[in-house]
Amino acid sequence: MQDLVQFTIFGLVLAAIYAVAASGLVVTYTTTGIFNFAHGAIGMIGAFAYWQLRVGWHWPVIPSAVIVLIVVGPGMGILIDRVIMRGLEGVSEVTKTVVSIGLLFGLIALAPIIWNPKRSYSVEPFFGANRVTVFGAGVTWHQLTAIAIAIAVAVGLRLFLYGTRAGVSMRAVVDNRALARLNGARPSRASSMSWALGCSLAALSGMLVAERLGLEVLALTFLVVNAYAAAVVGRLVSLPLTFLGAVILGLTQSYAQGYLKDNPSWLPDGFDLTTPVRLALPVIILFITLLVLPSAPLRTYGLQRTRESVPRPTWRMSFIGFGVLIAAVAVVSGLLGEADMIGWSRGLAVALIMLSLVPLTGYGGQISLAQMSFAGIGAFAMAHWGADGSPVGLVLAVVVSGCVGALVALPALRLRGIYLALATLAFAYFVDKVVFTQKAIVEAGSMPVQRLHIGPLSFADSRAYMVLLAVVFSLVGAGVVFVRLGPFGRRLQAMKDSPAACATLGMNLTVTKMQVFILSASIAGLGGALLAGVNTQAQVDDFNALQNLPVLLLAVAGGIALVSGSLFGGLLFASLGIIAKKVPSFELMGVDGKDVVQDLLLLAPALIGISLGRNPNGAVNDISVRLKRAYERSQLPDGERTAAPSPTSLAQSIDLESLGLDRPFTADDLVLIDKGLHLDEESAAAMRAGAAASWTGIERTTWAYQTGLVRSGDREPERTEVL
Amino acid sequence: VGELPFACSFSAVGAIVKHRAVGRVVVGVVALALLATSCGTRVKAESDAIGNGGLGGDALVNAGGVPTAGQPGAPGASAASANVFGSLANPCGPAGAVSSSGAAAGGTTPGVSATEIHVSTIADPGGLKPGLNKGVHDSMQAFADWCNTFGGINGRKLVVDLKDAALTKYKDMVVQSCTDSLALVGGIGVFDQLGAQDQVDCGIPNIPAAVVNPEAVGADLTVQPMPNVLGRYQTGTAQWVKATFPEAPPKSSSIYSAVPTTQDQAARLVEAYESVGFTFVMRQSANINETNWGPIVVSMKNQDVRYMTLTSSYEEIVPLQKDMAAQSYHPQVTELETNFYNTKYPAAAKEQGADTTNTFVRLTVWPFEEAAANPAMQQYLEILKQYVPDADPEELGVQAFSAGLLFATAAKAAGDNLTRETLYAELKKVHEWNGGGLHGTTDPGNNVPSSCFIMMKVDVDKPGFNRAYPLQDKDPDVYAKGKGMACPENVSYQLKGTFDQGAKKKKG
Repeated sequence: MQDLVQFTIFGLVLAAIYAVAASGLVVTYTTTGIFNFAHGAIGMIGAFAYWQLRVGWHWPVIPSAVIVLIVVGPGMGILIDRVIMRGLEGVSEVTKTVVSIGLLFGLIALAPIIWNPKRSYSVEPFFGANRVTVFGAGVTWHQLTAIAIAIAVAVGLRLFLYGTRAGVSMRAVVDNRALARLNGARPSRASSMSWALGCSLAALSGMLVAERLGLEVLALTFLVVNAYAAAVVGRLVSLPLTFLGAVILGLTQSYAQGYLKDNPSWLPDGFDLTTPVRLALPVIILFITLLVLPSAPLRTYGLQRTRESVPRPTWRMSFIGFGVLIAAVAVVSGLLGEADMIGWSRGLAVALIMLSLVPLTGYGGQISLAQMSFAGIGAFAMAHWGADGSPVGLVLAVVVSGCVGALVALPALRLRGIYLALATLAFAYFVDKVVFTQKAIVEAGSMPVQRLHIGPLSFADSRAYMVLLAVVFSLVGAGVVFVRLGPFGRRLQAMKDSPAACATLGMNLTVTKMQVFILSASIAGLGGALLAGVNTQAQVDDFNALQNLPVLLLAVAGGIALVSGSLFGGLLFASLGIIAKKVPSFELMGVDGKDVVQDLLLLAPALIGISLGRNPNGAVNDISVRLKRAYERSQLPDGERTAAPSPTSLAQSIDLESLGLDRPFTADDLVLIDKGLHLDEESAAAMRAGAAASWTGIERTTWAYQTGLVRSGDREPERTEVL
Repeated sequence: VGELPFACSFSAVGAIVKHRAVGRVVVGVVALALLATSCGTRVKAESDAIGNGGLGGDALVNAGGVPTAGQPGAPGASAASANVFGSLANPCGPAGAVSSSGAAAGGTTPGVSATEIHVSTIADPGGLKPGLNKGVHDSMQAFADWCNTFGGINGRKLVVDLKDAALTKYKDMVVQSCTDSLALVGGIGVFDQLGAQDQVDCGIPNIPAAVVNPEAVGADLTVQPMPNVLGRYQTGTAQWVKATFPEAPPKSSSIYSAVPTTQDQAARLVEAYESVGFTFVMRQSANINETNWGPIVVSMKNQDVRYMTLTSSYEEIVPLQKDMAAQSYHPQVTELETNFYNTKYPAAAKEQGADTTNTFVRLTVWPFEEAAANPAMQQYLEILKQYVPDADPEELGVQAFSAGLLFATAAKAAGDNLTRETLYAELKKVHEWNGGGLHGTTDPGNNVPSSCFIMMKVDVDKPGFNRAYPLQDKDPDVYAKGKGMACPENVSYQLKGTFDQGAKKKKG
C-alpha cells in the first residue's frame, strides 16, 4: 500500500510534465490544423536557452525563466508561423507532416551548432536540493513546482480561451475560419498567437524536465513523443481530456516501473517483455487510444483541394528512365571506390524503401511513418531464413513484412491523416522497442546477411550488387507504374481524392486500404532485405523508429507520387553522408570550415523539408516542369521569349474564396480564371461571347477548382470540438 | 593436490552508444554494448607456481628471449627509454641477439617483410559514439613508437595499422587485416562477433586488449593477455563485500540496463554471487537513459536493500544515485564493475548531487592514481604522454599495451622465422604474464585469468577514486602477497550453462 501511494506520487510528477507538453501540442493543432512533430525540439531549444541565461550568463533563476517563456518561446513560435507555416495553405496532410518533421531535424541540427556538443551541460533544479517527504516518498520542490505549473497551465488556458478576446477569437477561428473573418477576427493573427503560445508551453516543459534529463538534445526532443499519447487521449482538441491522458500516462509508467519486474515464466529463453513493454508504454497507450477513438467521419464536401498534382507516368518515359538508371549505375559503379559504392548502394536500397511510399502515400493518400520498420522486419526475416544469401530468404522477407503490413492495416483502416501517421509511428516505436530488442529475434543489435545469390549467379561483389539494386528498383518501379495506370491505381487515386465519393459509389475502401498497405509493406520488406545485403548485416540501427522520419521527409522531397521521386530521395539520403566524409579541412574565419560544411549538411534535410511548403510536389516534378517550360520557351520566336507566367502564380492571385463574399464577381475575374486555365485570348473571348456562353462564372470556377489549377484561398474549416 | 580452481579478472567496457552521426540524419539511442570479461578455468596445480600471482613478478623469459641491452633511447626520456618495462625485459631490440638464418620470412606471411612487421589494431572510435575505445589505438601507437626506438622487434620495424571498425564494420576490418597484417594486436571490437569466424578462417592470430562477444571470446587463435572466460566468474569481490559489509548480502539487488549483453552479464554476476551466500531480493532491468528511477529507488528502500550493483555504464548511475539522494536512501554498499572507472563519473555525481556513499568500483589493472607506486604504470603513462601527447589514459589502453608487450615478446621469441604459426606457437608457450606489472599475473597460453583485483572507492570531493582494498596499512598481508592487489585463491566459480560458442576452425 505504501508502495502504491509512493508510485502514484512519482506518476503525478511525470504527468505534470507530460500535461504541459501535450497542452502545447493541442493548442497549436486546434488552431492551425498542424500537428507539430517539432514540439519536443522546440522544448529542447527552450531548455538550452534557459541554460544559456541561467548558467552561461549567470542570470538569476526568475529572469531567465521569464525571458525564455515570454521572449524565446513566443519568438520562435511567431518566426515559425510567419516563415514556415503560412506557406502551408492548400497542401495535403502529408506535406504538413513533413514540414514539421523538417523543422524537427532543423532544430536538432541547430542545437549542437550553437551549443558545442563536446562539453556537458546541466542545470540545477529550481530551489536546489530542497525536498519534502510525502507518504515516505521524497519529492523535490522542483517537482512540486512542476505539478503547480501544470495546474496553473490548465486553469490559465481555460481562462484565456474563454475569458479573453484573443482567446475567443482563436476558438472562433477553429470553429469556422470564414465566419470568424466575416465577423472581424483576423485568422492570421490568431494562428501567430497560437504558435507563440504553443512554443512557449513547449519551452516550459523543456525547462521543467532539463534538470532530470540533462541538456541532452535527443533525450529532450523525444521525451515529448510520450506527450503525443496524452494529446491523442484528448483527441488533439480537448484540453481537459489531454490532462487526463497525461495523468493516465504518468501513473501507468510509474506503476509499470514499480510493479512490472519479472518476465512471466512461460516466456521462452531469449525473450524479454517487462523492460521493452515498459519502454513502449506510451506508444501502446497511444495505439489503444487511437483504436477506441470514434472513427473520423468521411468528409462530405466536394474534392479535397490541394495544389498538389503530378502528371501520370507513361510507359515510354518509365522504360527510358529505368534503362538510363541501370546503364548509369553499371557505368558509374566502375568509377567508384568500394566505400562510395557501398554508400550509393545504400541509397538505392533506401530508394526502394521510399518507393513503397509511392502507392501508399503518393497514390492512396495514406501517411505511414512505419516503412523503415517494415523494412527492418524484412531485413531480419532475411537474416533468419536467408543469411546465406538465398532467394528463399528474400521471398520470405517480402511475405513476412507483407503479413505484418496487413496486421497493421487492420487497426489503421479507420484512421486517416495525422491519426494514421501517429498510429504508424506508434507501431514503429513498438517494433523498435519490443520486437528488435528480443535476443531471440535480433542478436546483439545486428545479424550477418550474405549478399544474394541465385543459383550460379552471385552478387557478392559490391559492383554486381549495386547493379542488382538498380535492376530491382527498376522492376519494382515498373510494377508501381503498372499499378498507377491500372484500375487499382485509379481506385487509390479516387480514395485519396474523396473517400466519401468512393464510399457513395460503392467502392470498398477497407479492401483497397488493406491491399495497398500489404503492397507497400512488401516493397519495404524487400528493400530492407536488400539493404541488409549492402552491409552484409542487418542492423537494428538502420531500422529504428526515428529513421522513418527522414525516409518520409526525403521521399516527399523527391516527389511522393513519383517513382523517380523516391529514387531522388534515396540518393539524396545517401549523398549527405558521402559528401560529409569528403569535405576537406579548410580555414574559415578561424574555425575549421569542414565542421561548418558538415553542420550545413546536417541542416540540409531540414531545409528541404521546410521548403516543401512552397513546393509540395517534390524536386523531380519541379525540375521537369521547369525544363519543359524552358523547352517550350526556346521554341518560341525570339521576340516572344519572355517569362511566361506560371499557372500557379496566376491562380494564386485570384482569391476565389472571397468571391461573392466581399466583392462582386466581375468580368476581370473571369479573364484571370481563363488565363489560369491556359485558354488563349481568342478562345476565351469566343467562349465568353458565344459557344460557351452557357457557362456561368460559377461553373467555370468550379471547373477550375476541380482541375486543381486554382487553389482555395483558405483552409476548409474542420469541425472540431471546442477546447 | 588435484585441481586448483583459479582466478579471474574482471574487466568491462560499457558504452552507451548514442547517435549523433555526422552526415546522417539518423537519430536515436542505439545500443549499449557492454563487455564483461573474465574468469578462470581449471588449472592443474602442478602446472604452475603462479598461485600467488600478483604484480612485479619475475620477468618473463621464454625461449630465445634474451634481452639485449644498450639500445639508443629517445633523447630526454628517461623512463620511457629504459630497456625494461616494469619488471619485464624489453622485448624490442635490433636483430642479432637471436639470429638463426637470414631473412627467412620475407614473402609468404602477410605483414612480414625483411624490414617490417605490420599488425592491426581494431577499435571503434569512428562509430556512433565518437572516440569509443580510442584509448587502445593511442596505446598501440605509443607502444609501436616506443618499441621502434629500440630497433623494433628483432630489428624489424613494428608498424601498427590503426583500423576503425566504427562498431559495424568489424568484419571488414578483420578481412582486410587477413591480407595486410601478421596479427591483430591490442584491439577491441564492441561487435567483434561479426568477424570472429573470418579471423579463424583466415588463420590470423588475435592478441586483443579484450574480447567482447562469445563468438570472439571462445575463438581459436586468440590469446588474451588478460583472459576472459565466459563460463567462469571470480567471486573475490563478492567475498570482500561479504566480509566488509556482513549485513548486506542477504538483501541484495541487481539492476541492469535492458540490453542483451548487460542482461547476460548481470545474470552471471547474480549466479556467482549467490554461490557465496548473497540473496538477490530484487533483480530489475531499467531502460537506457532511464528518466524515472524513483519507483526503483523506493522499491529498494521499502525492501531494505543493502547491496546494489548496476550493470550498465556510468552515465546511468548518476541519475539513479541522484534519485537516491532525493529519497534519502542509499544501500550500505554499491559495487560496480571496471567500466565505471572513469573520472567523469565522480565529476558528474558531484555536479548533480548524486549520493555515492560507499560506492566501490573494482579494478583489475593498476590504478592510474597510484602510478608512482608502480614502475610499469609510471612508465606506461610516460610513454603514452611522450608519443601520443593528447591521449587520455583509459583502462582498456592499459590492456592494449599489455597485449602489445605480449605480442612483441612472442614475436621476438619466434626469431627470424616469424610466421603466424610460429607466433601463435610462441604465444601459447607464455604461462605467466603481468604486462610488466600493469595487472595481476595471468596464464595467456592456457587462457587462465588472474584473481587479482583492487577496490576503488568513489570520492566526489576529489573528484576521483581512492583505494579501499587492499590497503597497505590495514591489509598488509594481502597487499604484500599480491604486490598491491588482492589475489584471493579458490574464488573461481563455474557457471552453469553452456558457453562454448566461440568461432572454431572448420574441420576438414
